[in-house]
Amino acid sequence: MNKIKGKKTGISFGCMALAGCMVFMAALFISGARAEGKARTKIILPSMMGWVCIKPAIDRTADFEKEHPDIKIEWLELPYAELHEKQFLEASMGAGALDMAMTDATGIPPLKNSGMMLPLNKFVERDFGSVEAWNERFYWLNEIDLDGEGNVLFVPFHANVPFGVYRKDLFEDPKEKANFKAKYGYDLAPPETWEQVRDVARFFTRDLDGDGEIDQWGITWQAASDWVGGMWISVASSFGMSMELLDEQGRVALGVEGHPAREGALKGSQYWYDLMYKDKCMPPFLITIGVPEQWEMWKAGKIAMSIDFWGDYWAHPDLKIPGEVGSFVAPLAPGATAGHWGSWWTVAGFKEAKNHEAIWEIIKWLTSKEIQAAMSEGSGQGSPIKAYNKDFMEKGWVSESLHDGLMHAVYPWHVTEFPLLFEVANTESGKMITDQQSPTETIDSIAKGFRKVLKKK
Amino acid sequence: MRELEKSTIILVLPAIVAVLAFTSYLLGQAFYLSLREYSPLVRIDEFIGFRNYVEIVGNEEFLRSILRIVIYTGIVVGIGSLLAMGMALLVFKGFRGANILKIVIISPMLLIPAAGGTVWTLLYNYEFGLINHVAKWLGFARISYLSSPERAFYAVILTDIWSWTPLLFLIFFAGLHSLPPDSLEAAEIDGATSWQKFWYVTLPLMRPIVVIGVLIKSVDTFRTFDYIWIMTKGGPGGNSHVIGTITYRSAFRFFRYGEAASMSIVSLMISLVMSMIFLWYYTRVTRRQV
Repeated sequence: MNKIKGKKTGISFGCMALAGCMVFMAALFISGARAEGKARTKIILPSMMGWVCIKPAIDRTADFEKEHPDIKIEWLELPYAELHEKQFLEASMGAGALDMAMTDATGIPPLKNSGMMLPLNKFVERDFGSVEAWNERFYWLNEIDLDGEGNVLFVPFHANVPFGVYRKDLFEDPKEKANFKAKYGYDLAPPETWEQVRDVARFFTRDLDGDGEIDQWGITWQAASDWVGGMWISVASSFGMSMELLDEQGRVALGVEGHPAREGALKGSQYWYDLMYKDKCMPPFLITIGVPEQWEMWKAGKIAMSIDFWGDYWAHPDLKIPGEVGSFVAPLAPGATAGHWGSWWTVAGFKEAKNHEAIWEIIKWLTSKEIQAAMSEGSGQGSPIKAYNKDFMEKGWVSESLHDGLMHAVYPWHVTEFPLLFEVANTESGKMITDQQSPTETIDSIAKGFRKVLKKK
Repeated sequence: MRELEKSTIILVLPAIVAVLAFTSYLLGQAFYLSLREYSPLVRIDEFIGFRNYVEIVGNEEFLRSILRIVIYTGIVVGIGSLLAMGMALLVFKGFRGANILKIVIISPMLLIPAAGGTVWTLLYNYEFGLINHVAKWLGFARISYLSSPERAFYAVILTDIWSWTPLLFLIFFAGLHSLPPDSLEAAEIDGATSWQKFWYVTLPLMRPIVVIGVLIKSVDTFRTFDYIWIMTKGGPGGNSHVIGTITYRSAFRFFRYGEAASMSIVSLMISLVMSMIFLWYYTRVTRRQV
């Protein structure tokens, strides 16, 4: 009797489990069918989480969808590092999780090399006449957005370059001006050279309450641990680090004695290191200063001057700093052929996306005057489109310093391995600014890391 | 009885088969990948045998990350166990407010690591962090925690102890409840002090539970990634990299999937050896008690 009962129980359990599985599968199938059945195309567009510049576009998504009732944009906000990782995974595996990509300089080479990006030529030719006419709209940036065979893959919608900001209340104070002139022999003004940056930074680094600790730093720049490499590249190139990766003999230029790449990098690194550890006018905890920390320090009156990608941040409504903020072009060292890191963000489509036409409509919308104006007015970002940028500068939305800086900007090494080179620069420059190695050791370690990445001896 | 065992096995078998199948497949894939130089970034995919293993064993950064995680695990589990046992004994005694104290003790565990790590990053902030603010108020100098190559690692350890000691507390607390009350009563009748009761009665009886708790926590801590990545990203200058973060960086920052796979296999081997040692000790301890 017990045997039969046990068997019946086992069979009942089995049937219940099977029924449960079937109901689950049916539910999955039905929800999928419903999603398929909808007429609207959903386009998944990743963007950088918390990015002020893209916010005006996100806020106007409803207007776009009203004009294009067959398209729905799903913004997928991700932290910077994850953005690149996820987009690259999509490009290498074609999982269909993303329809579009949004990326800066570091992300373009690997995506381009994946062969998964959607050529936009047919749309460009249809709506703008020709690829040449399309390219003419943009600054120099467009060179790298092509794939070497004339295919337009990436479309810039945002342009930026580091520039300086300073506290006007300090710089325009008569007492400060007099004291500065007495000490340094020239007028206090927004600095134009790196030497002046150092003088001003030293002058304004102060222990305001006499407790032996510095309360006001002469200068900061954003050097949080996953971006320090970016600032290193920017500073080193502004000191003349040529953007040649390899010399004529195919050696990593940073490791070749006397090469401009090495010389510029050494000068820039030494300058940075001295600001922190010799002049002590830059916080020693710089490795923990990211964008939010820098904002907080501005708001608390702890910074006199800063060099950063301020086109993204200084118009932030929460940035209520004491007094007004002025801006200045980040200096270039005398004889420097390279400039600061020109950053721009681009959008592109994946070949595997469901609706290429929808992707093109979104790209046109992001680069339309209306959205570009909203992004400039709302967040101070530069436009990569020549005709617009001049207009926005005249309206006072775009800082002149940002505009001028863009004229001299460089973009880093345009090789597929760029993300790996960037990671090497992050690690080694991080060691330098935490005083674990000297500037020379840093350049040697970066050169060694580059040799490993590029498989050079 | 036999029938019951048979039907139990039949019912559990699908789950065992599924777990084994998934685990074997994933492990197999990882091992296969570890024998290749595979990087979709630079489009390379070729069989290289055990070269990845040879390279990582000769890689100073990787070896240091293993040493660091051993230290990390030792400190987190050691201090965590002591704290957890202390708190469990205190709450077990029972007093007014013990239930509220229990909730306070386990609350850090309820916070997801991303949130906990962010909170502690803010607490440790040199300029605005509460810790330095209190230190300054008390007349001490401010200290760099997460920007110091020497202190960042230990700052993260403290966060981990705060977060996961409650798990050990729960295990030990449950263990205390499972102890036979007669032994403790007998010890009390014999005039044993609290310390003697704990050392000669409670702790020996708790040994199997402590071993299991320490095993679970050790294996879990050995895999740690979240707090370190959120708070320091393995920095400053790579000084807080452990095996988990260095593997992640190899895979998702350097796109060296073959190298990352070999690192994860090595990590798995170390975890397995660790687990076997603990289980051997557990078997010894339980045999003694029987």
